[in-house]
Amino acid sequence: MRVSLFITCVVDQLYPRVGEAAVELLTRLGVEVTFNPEQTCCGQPAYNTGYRREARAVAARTLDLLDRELRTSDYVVAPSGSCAAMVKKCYAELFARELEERERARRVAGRFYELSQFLVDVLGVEDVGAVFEGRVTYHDSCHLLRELGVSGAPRKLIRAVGGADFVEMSAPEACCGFGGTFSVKHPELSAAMAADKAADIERSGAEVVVACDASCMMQTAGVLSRRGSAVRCLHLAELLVSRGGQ
Amino acid sequence: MEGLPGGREQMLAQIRDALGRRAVPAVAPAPLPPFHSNPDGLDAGERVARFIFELKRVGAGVEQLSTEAEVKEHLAGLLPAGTDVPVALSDGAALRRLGLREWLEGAGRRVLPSLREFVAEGLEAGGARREPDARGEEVAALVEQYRGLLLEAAVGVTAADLALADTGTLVIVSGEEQHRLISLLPPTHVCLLDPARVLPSLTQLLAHVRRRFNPPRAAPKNMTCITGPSRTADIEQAITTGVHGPKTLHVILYSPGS
Amino acid sequence: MTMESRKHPDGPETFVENYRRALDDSGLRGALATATGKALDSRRQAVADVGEGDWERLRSRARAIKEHTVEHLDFYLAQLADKVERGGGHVFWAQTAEDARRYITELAARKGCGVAVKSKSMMTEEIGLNAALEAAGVEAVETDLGEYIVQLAGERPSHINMPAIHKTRGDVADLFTAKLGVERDDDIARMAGLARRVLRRRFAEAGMGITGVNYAVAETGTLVLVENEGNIRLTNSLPRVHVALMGIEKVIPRLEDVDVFLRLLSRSASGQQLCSYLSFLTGVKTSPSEEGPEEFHLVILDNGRTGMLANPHLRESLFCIRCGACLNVCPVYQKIGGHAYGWVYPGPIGAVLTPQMVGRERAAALPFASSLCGACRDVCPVKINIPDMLLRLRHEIKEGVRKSPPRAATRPAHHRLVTDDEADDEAEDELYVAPLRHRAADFVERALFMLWAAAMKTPFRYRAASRVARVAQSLFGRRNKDAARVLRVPRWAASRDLPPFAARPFRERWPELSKDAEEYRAAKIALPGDRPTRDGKGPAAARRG
Repeated sequence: MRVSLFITCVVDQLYPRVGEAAVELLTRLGVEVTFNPEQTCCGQPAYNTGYRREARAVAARTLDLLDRELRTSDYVVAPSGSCAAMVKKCYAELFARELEERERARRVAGRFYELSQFLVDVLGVEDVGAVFEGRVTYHDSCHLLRELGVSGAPRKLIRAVGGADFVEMSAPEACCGFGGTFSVKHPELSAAMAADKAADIERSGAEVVVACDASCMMQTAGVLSRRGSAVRCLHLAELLVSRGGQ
Repeated sequence: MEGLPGGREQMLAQIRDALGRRAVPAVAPAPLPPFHSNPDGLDAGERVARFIFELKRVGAGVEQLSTEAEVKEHLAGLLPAGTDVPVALSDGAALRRLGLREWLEGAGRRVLPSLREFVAEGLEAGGARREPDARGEEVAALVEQYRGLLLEAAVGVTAADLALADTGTLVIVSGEEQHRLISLLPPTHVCLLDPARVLPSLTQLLAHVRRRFNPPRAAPKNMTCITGPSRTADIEQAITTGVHGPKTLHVILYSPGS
Repeated sequence: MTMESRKHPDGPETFVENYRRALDDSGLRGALATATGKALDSRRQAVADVGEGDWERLRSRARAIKEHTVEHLDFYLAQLADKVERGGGHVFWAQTAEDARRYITELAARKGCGVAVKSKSMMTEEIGLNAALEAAGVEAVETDLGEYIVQLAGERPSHINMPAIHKTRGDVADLFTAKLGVERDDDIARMAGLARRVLRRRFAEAGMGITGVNYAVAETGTLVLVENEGNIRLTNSLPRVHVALMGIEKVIPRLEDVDVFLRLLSRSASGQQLCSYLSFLTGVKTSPSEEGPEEFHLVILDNGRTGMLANPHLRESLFCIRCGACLNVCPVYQKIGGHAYGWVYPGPIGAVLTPQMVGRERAAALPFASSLCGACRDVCPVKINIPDMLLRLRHEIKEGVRKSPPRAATRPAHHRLVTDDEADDEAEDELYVAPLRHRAADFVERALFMLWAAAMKTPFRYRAASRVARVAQSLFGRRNKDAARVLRVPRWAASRDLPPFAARPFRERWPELSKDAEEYRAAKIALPGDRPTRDGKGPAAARRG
């Protein structure tokens, strides 16, 4: 099986370790991983801010690239629920009037997966052989949860990690407050939401909070770090390649 | 005063425009396919039990009685002590059949006349000298006076037409019976209900209304569904009863056939 | 208004300033957290009692009814009006808020009404009816307890169905003492009792009762009104004239359709199976000794709604049944409450409605005040896709798809008297021009996104941009781990650290990673740390599959 990785811009620029973990994880599971360095961005920042013309220009290019990738790969996998939602859901709206692109978007959407969804639904794997001693909680990324309807897969994967003690926070589905340009346009609102999230994480008693989106990690880790919290933020891929303590 | 000339046609034209339609639709749109809610699967007895359960859940008192004497005794127990506090009775057939008015009066309670009686007496007292034209105003004034009396009543007694089991709801259709204000103004509302009249839910009620009154021609002018006492949670989400309507609601289940 | 000082002189155009004030108000945030939390818990329980499957069926049906009705809105409104008139009611078609205000105030004058009692109605807030009545010499008395509190305080409701959600019992006690001249008592039941006594007198003297409408049934001309307190029943039973105000979207085809909406509404709003009182009103009394008002007037209002109807992307704004669930679940609303939104409808649905009603320029900030988390869509009993509409509005605002709605609404209801300059005011609303700093920020933002798009269009430019960013980072903040402070993003940095750019982006690491993976696969050896997995599917599962 061959998978083309779609590495989001946040992962590429700020958290390359997440991409590395994804490569290692999939490779261990016997998947042949490829990556096309020509890729840039899914176009979500412009789309979410209302600049559809700019979003369409970037998305058209990405769509074309993904379509080409799928000629040689079985699937495209992204370590991000948000980018996956953009490609799988929003491209249809973005290219509603271009027949050819719309068809291409439909084709790509069917074979584009968020990482946890891919592991559980496509590979049929829950226990990936990871070991992690510690108490872990999980934050539901909004787009993964509500656009793609994925909430069970990440939990199954985390529960199967050897040594990990999984605890739920009281409101795992509450938004971390990132929201892309929302966090820049309305930072006080964004921060107020993040503060609630951080407090909930701390109350859970977890040492590590796991997310499936680097942007949620950036927001949550940023607030936890400012609060001087000892809780660490990990991407699911990072947890799943862990082979021992912390 | 009926507004701008052509207000209706202009607004409807604007709506059609927004919908991208030119002409007035010639025929009624095809209705949506029927929507079936799940039947409750209860027999009559179970349905009454469900009704009682739900009624208690919304904070109403309920008593199931089998004889007239029990009904009267129970009603007396619900009235505040002190015989000069007026009681208001609606004109429902069920109440008349039981002779509640006469019985209460016989027991020394002050019972307000029904609106019908009050108006008839008022017109009689005013004499027959008035022209028929003046009667309308006269009646309106009497209705207003009657309202003042009702505002003093401590208890209002009515009869429900129907009830809904799954929500503990009383259904009161008010026309000649004058249930509308008596079920609303006094701080205590006592409602008589024939357990045979308990329907599974709102679904059957609306179907029943359609059948009985056969709309679109003539729906009942005033139908009220009452689920528990008047309540508010507007201050700190604390549930408080009796803010505008009755603070307490008592239901007496009584089957006149029994 | 005879009300005290304007506590919230803010409109949607000062949204940022409004919410900063709200965020600083810890009392408000506590009140909001408690109230929305309770409402959500009750709702969750009520939905669980119905069962997930049945709940979804009800939602889908409600949406189908709304879609069907809106598609045939002209037919159903005409049918409704015919039935109401046949039952002895008057129907007035109001295109604008001003039309509706004028009709109602003139009616009050004609009937000699000095006092009008009102039940809670967002529609009357929307058209600023209270101020218009006051200006015409008619005292408008709100009778819903929460709305009465808010009116006494000279404020506007901060929630669609919990108007005084922002006030504590202490606030209410102080208010009653100041306004009603009673001894201070913060017992909630006794305060409610006081309101009952005071308002009973007002009901008795009112010549006009004004209500909203929850559902208007086209086939029968029946109005359905939903409430818990009983004040709506009093309002439509006691005064001689009853005026009901409805938006064009409140009509539904058949009596049986009411069933579906009632099952959804109370559960979504407060977690009740059914509200305390449902009134089904059909026709006016025909003999003077019947109960109920002598006259009934139904005002059917457009006020910009045909503009929503005309826009297929935003049409579902008209499906809203005003349950308030999207407010309760919204993390933004939970933090700032309703006043910050600056107009009548707050929360997620407010962020969709307000720009369409007061103008996209005036309310330009609102659609952006969402993280697009989608919780509102999940709780909506009519499955309104609020996040999609927010995205659409963002697009329309940024690209000027529609400069202004076809018909401007009013300014916030409580913020001014209705004057002869009314028409001028509304013209001004249409011509609202954002302050210079906002326009400058917009210009910079647009330029940045154009640059961004240019950078993302070729991998070469993408790599170049990422190098420039790293150089900037190393120049300004070699030793600072917090990139936000380094990159001078002060409002961000006030509360959060921003991770620095990684030394080497993923794409630069890829050649090595690829080589490692290649070797691993070629050797087919277990890496150190591999352990047998419980389900036996672990490492190498895909290889076997």
